Amino acid sequence: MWSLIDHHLHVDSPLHRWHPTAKLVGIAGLIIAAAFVTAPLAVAALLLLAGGLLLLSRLPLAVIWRRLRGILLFLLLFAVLLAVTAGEPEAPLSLSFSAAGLRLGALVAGKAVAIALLAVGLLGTTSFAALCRALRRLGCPQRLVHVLLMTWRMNFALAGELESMSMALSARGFRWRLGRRALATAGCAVGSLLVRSLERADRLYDAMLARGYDGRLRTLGTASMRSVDVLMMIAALLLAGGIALVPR
Amino acid sequence: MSDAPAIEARRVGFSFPDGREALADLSLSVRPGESVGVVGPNGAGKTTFFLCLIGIHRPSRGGLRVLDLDVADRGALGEIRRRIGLVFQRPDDQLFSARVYDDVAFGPLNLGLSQEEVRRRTDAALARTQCTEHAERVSHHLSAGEKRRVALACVLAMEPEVLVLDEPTNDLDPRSRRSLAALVGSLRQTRLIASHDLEFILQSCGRAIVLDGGRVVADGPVREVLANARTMQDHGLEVPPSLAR
Repeated sequence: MWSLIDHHLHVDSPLHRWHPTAKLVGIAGLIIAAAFVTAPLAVAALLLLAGGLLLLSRLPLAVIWRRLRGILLFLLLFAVLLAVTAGEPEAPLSLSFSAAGLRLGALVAGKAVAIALLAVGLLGTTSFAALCRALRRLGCPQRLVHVLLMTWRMNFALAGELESMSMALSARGFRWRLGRRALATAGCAVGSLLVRSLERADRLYDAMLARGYDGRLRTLGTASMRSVDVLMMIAALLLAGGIALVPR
Repeated sequence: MSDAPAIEARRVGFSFPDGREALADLSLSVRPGESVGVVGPNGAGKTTFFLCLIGIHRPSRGGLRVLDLDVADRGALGEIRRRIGLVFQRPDDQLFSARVYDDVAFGPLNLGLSQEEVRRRTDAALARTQCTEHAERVSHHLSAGEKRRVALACVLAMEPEVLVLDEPTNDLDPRSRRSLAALVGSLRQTRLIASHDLEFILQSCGRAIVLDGGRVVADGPVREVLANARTMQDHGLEVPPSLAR
């Protein structure tokens, strides 16, 4: 799901235009509601709402499907497991589907899918930098936000290094398979990657110092929130509250 | 412009914690407005000297002054880093923000400038390096040439008086190299450029300094120094093809 971030920012949609801080608050409210609801009707409403938001976001559905299918498969297995294990077994050590188990499985899977879709809506339409600025604006400690930003950037740098290392190993006949020799080689490669990461972190810090960094993260001000952003946020929070109050 | 040298090094020495000596009695002086090429074999001490200039490495002996400020004076480091811009050898080490615009704005923001001034400088630096179209892109999606130009924009946005470029043409294709040469040639700052690309040095500098073993072994007009086959060969270099003909 992380690979959705920063890849679809060129799309123009109401969700893309929604101010990141208001969007984070609104969607986080819906996600929290999804985590707590227990009524099937509420879960169905959240699924509809999350699906509607995704359509509104104009994110390519094929890409979303590719990113989510692994999670959906896992949820399906989890729901099946719940369906056969929840409730009283008919005989000791027997497995059979029960209505209560099916309901519980569907409920848990529905909630998880709704949360995943809402998260896609948020992460796919907001740049990581904007998300971090929104977190900072909402009172998240500056150092934590800084660590998040650097971690995000360094993920790609390290992934690039790992890819180069992996190609160099393959070019010399190495195959990633289980075995003592392969594991020893992989261990050396990972160790080397860690050392390189450390050296890179030093160089990066030097580059920051060279441009006047003194331990404080200063950021550019963002566009101010429009009234429509606030209205959308309030609507999302009201919906979240309403759905959370649906009786079981 | 002041008469004081932009950079003055007197018998500067520096050793790494493992005892390896990187700079040994290095002495040189660069006048304001000069464009100086620093050449030498790998391990000659070029990068180490550049890191000493901005106070990241601290010389273990000798005197080093930049724009009349003593690099050994911790209190002057902020001012030195404001007035001297170093473009690092690997642009990936210099680009760490989530988007190009934030990377270029990072330096000006640290100078404590107003948001308007930060935006003005960022926009101007992006335009100067022809990177305006990349402003909203993620740094790690850029090509090598684009990363180089953005790294230069990051430093130009700080409007430094001295510009130090460490291997600026590494990984560049001929077209990107030409465009970088034209850009560097159009700058008015004092420039110190380290490179193994001697044609680039020939094109961009009026003077060349050969470093080897942490010492200056030759210093003079660029064509004279780079055409000296004996000096070049003795220090692991070659006369650039355009001078060898």
